[in-house]
Amino acid sequence: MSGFAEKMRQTWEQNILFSVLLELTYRCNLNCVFCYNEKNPQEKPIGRERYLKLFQELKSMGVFNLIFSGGEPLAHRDFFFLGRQAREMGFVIRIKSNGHALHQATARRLKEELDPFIIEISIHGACAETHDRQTRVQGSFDQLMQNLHILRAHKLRFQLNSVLTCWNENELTAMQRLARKFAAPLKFDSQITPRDNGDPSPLALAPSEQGLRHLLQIQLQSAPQGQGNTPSTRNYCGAGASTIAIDPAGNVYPCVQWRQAIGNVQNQNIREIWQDNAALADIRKSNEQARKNMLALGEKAAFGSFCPGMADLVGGNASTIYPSVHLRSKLRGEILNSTDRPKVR
Amino acid sequence: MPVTPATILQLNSDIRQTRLADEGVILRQEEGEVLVVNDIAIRFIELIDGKRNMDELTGLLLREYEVEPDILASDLAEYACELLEQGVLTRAEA
Repeated sequence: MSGFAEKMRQTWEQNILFSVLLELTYRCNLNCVFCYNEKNPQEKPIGRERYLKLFQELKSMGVFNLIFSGGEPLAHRDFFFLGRQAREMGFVIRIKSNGHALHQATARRLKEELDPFIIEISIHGACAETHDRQTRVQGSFDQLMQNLHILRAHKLRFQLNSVLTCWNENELTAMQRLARKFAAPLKFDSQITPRDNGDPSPLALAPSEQGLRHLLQIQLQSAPQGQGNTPSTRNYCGAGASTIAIDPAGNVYPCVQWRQAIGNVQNQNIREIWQDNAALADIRKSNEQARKNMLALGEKAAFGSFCPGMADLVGGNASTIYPSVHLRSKLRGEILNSTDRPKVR
Repeated sequence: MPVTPATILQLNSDIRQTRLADEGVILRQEEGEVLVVNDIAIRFIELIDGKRNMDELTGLLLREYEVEPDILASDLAEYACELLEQGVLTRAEA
């Protein structure tokens, strides 16, 4: 295990808060069909001063990564102000964006004022027809392609993230080609989730079994041996162990997917929320149990496909394996046992 | 160019660092490379501010760690050279 991998393992094992994701706003300039955000939350958003105090608290706790997310984080009126402050305080800044507004002037400001380590950009297909169909904004694919060239010109590192859907599952190879063209990594999420308010309508876009199989084959081909399967820690993932997510109203969650609030930074110090918190202790126990339950599935277990937050959302128990994980594990087992098993590099 | 007691260093602007379980983690953003360093190394890096020279930094560290002054000064000079070569540090204007 490399020095850094060992440090990451320590953050999970010793509950060291290392990465904090900030959902700055749920406002967005796109309108993705399967978006999980609740569009009209009623709670009072965090103000500028409280964010600055929060940054100081996080710095004093040794937090390294600050991830600006949304909605679309650039749609927050204080995005650049907060980003500049975060940079001055020495955080590693990561940004999750749809890329639609990252035109010339914005990209330049990003580089000069925030100097983010990486921008994770959502892509929905390999062509305008598919991408625009999912974003429901005409011209969004062409705009994104233009903006990716701009990011490259400004030496802004980015990776492409895509959610596998029944609309884009036939474009996996083409999307890989597209990512290679920009020399950017491409990461797929094969799990569409219900909305945060429980609305299951996004699930209508879930990929087919064939689409899932194709993605699993690609992932097995590209993963170094042993990577991406059994975690070497007692937890299933870093949720609530080394990471948290904070929504625009200040509610704190173990991760962006696991929407079980453990406190609110508008009336609590984040250090208080992180320490001696009964709700968080239960979450950590569930996380450990989730790992045990996945290990019980045996060698075929598709580890990356399970999410405790998703389990909590669909079944009310974060450690219970839900049906789509069984399907992915079955497909993984079939691929591993097949004669055309992909060669692991 | 050697690192002397009068040398003033500063962190390269793409460097991000933190303490993590008694060690230090340094990210070189431009290279996308992470370095894990020991306690005294991360303390040295934390103290570098583009104003204090190597002699002053050595003095500060001697207050915190029980080490022989000559050995510490020599080790720090050698380590600073490595960090300069790696692009973690640059020389500050005097």
